[in-house]
Amino acid sequence: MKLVIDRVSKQYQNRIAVDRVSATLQKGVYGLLGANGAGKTTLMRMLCGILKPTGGTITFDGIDVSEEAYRAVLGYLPQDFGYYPEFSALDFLLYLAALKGIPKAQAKRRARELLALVSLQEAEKKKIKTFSGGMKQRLGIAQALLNDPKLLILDEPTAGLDPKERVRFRDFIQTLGKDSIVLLSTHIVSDIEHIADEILMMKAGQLIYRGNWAHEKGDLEEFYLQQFEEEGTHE
Amino acid sequence: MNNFGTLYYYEVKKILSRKLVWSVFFINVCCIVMFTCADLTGKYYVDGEVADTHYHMFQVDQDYRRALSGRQLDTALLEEMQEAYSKIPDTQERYMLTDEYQTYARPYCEIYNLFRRWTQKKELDELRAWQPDEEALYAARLETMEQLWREQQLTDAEKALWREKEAQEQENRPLTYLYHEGYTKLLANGLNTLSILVQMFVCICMAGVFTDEHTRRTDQLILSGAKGKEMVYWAKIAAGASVSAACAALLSAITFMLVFAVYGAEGFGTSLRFSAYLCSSSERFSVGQVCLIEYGILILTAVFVSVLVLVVSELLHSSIATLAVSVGLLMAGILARIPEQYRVLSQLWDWLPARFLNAVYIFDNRTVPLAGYCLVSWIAVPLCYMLAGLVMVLAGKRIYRNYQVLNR
Repeated sequence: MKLVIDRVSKQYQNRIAVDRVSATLQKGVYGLLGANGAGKTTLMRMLCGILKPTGGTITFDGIDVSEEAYRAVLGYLPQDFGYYPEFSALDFLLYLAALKGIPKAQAKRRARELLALVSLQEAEKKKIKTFSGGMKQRLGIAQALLNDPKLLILDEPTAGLDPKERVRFRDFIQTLGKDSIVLLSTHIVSDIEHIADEILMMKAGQLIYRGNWAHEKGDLEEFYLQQFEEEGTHE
Repeated sequence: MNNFGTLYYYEVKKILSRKLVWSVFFINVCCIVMFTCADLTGKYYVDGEVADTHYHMFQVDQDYRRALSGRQLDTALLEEMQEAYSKIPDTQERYMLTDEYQTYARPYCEIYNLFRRWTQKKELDELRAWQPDEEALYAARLETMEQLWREQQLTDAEKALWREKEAQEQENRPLTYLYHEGYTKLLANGLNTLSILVQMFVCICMAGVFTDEHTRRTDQLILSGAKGKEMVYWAKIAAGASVSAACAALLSAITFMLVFAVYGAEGFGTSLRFSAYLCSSSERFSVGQVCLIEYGILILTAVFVSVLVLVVSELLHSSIATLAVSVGLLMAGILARIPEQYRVLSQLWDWLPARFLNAVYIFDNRTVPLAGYCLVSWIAVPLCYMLAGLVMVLAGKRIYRNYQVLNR
């Protein structure tokens, strides 16, 4: 299981959002850190095939990002996404299961499992418009897991979760990382410093740091803030 | 295929769960009720005084028409009609107000109106001077048609086609008059009004099928799904087209039921020659067959317009812009007209969905020359719609696949 990102770039008219990022990811949890505008979301969108890179290639076990087979193993939780207010939680998951190509009978079973996992089984028939922000976020996490993804991309997954849910979610991600590639981006360093096998840090569209973070290296948050300060000095 | 069914189901659910869809549909039903009954409401005034109610006048005429139903349009009937109209004093300018008209002539007014249309003899004196003869009447219709064909600048091939159809129909003469008021209503303004209502429904309700995903930001979830870049597109197109077709079919059914309940459903087999609205057509259909063809085309047009709106919305990524373009096109079609002298331009313009759903254009005497044949409009235009729809759907798929989720 290997995700290969090879010199991937995204250039808008007069701005480079992602600048020749290369990395090879294998099973495990990867924490993606970076300030606003560092290019995290753009990189993640390219990894999900919803944004075309200006240059470079992305492949998963040799399958190109543009292919249906790539998307079949992908689970994606966008940073800021919408719902269908008139759909119930179960309907929402069944719709997205069909979208991921999961057969109907299997989809229903899987949807109910995931609703239980994110503690929404009581609300499966309730319309999403009645949900709180945290409930919606949990539903979003559930949809990303529908197809047992081998590649799971989570953009700010803990936003809107309360501290208890956040801890539960971290533990769950750690479990998922044993069998799949999990890439999650966040602003909150504590979300990833204990569960991420490796840290990826982005700044101005470039990958400026990659490696595991052991305690002996010091405080991750401090290191992370240092990058901000450096950025401020440059400006 | 299993997944397509599920996706299609949820796409339909998304459309039908919008309050806007039901609001527009409800308004359309109200409009249908209003236009069906509007002619029967109100009063008829003569010199500022109430002379009658429209409903009573309709009832009287309906009884007279029913009394004529089943009679052949032959010399005997023409003589009766002429005799009845001859009783009207010739000193009266407004002959319809005379007792003689009300008592003797009014029961034959349907036949008199047909006489006027076929012979172009519009004055009462011309009827009085005319020698009733069915052969002369049918010959006069041919003459009138020849004149119309010249005005419409028909080609020799087109004229030959319609002459042949007229000749075939005349083999069945004398034609039999049947009461067909319901079909007259459906042909005259039922279809026209309904087509505008249906197209408005499609423009308003389909503009958001694709664009709502972008504004709601659900497009990220869809496009990152395995079936999101291909099957969802087809599911959305199928859902939009089928909801539009269902709306057209349902509104047509409501129109038919209401019109038949008020005006009566009899007269399906009446020759088109008797139709006040479509007597300029030489097609050999009955008024009932014409109604079925027209309302079938309405459903097909609803599908075509929905495809157009769906594809334009995916191109513009804005439901407001899509609404502006589609309603603008609809209004232009309704309001603007190109004179028949510019034959090709005017014919093409009349093929716009907003104009075409009119009995006169569907059964237009102007045809489409194709490989030596004259293809009639009610076949050629639906074929063009299907072809254009197919091209648009394929172009739309390309646009949809290439869509990129950018920062919003």
